[in-house]
Amino acid sequence: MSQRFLTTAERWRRYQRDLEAYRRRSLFRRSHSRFRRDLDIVPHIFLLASKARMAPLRGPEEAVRNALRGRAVWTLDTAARLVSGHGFLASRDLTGYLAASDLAWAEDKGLVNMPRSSGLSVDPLYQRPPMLIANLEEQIPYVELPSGDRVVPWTFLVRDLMGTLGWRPDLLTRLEATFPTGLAALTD
Amino acid sequence: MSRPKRAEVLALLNQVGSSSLGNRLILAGSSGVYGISETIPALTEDVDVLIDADWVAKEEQQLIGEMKKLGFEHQPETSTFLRQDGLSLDLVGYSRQDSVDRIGGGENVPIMVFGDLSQVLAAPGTTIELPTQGKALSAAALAAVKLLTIRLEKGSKDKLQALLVIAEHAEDEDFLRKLRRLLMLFESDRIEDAVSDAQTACLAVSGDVVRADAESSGYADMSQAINHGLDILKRLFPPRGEQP
Repeated sequence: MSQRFLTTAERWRRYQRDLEAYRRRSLFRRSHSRFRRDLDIVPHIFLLASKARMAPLRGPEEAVRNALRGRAVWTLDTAARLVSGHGFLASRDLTGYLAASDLAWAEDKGLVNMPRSSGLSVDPLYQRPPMLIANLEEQIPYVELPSGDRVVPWTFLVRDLMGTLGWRPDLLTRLEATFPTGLAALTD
Repeated sequence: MSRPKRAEVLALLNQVGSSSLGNRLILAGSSGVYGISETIPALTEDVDVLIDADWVAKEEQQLIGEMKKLGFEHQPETSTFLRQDGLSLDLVGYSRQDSVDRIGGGENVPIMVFGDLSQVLAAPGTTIELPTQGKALSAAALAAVKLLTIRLEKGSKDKLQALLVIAEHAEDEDFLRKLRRLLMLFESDRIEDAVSDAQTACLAVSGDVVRADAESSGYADMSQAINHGLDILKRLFPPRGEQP
């Protein structure tokens, strides 16, 4: 029986493959401490059916956001865009906390169409216009930016993110690198 | 290809030691176990020897010629030399000039050069002279290299052999000090991964032993030694947070 030995080039390619697999395994191990740390922030369901409403925006996202300045406390994608300059969702929705009376005010002012129950995800599961996704909680801690926009503090953002998208160590790590420092830079 | 026996491998090293290749080849890999233990299974079908890849780059023809005198034919495009009786010898590269992974050696004999290996071999006392002539990795260096080895296939074998080497030297303070010093050459993440891999391998064997029958008692003994090796390794490198 003839024996074919692996060429050095073949060995090299196999080694590179192993290194890549090993790197992923190593990163997974490293993320355990991230998981334990993140679990200290008890997940919170931003889209809780009894609390969350969504309403199609009737104007550009920026105009609606400006109109709700001082009333809404932005979280998730909107807060990330305001503070670190980058969001993490594909759709340009507005995500925040708003008192029921303020949501009614927004509808009366023609900023949004009639609110309805929220979906199961902040990601659009069907073709839809940009939405205001509001949780009708009133007692929410916030940090006010120089623009007057209010955003949730970092730990609250983590809580909302885990309660909405699940545990996303990649996203959390990226946001952790930009959000707290961005917030400090804006408010110092 | 034949599975080499310990005596056969040591005889080969003796033969190499008498040739002009002299001390250039260092017995390592799984066959390196033959150099430091009479009991730990090598579980290998070839003989791995370390060689300075930068020397090969300059003296490739001399290497091929000397290996031919020893009865080995070079296999084109590989780092493998084959003897007529089926014994195959693989060259594994290290470098004294850098410690990065790369393909080194010469045009005819390309050799994989491993950064980790180069780093370990740059430390003092990492090779030993075999009583039967020739050189081999020391027990501490072999254990360190096997703990750090990254490969998907046969991955557990490296870790299990390392743990058996550690268990065999459990009372040897000098060995433990050297092993710790060698692993400390690497970043803490690498060490953590090495210990975790060793633990994974150990758990896999423990699971097998639970399912083994009475006829597999030797296997159970080996599993105990592996557990012992892991305990010692964990004592040398306690998890973060448990360090004094």
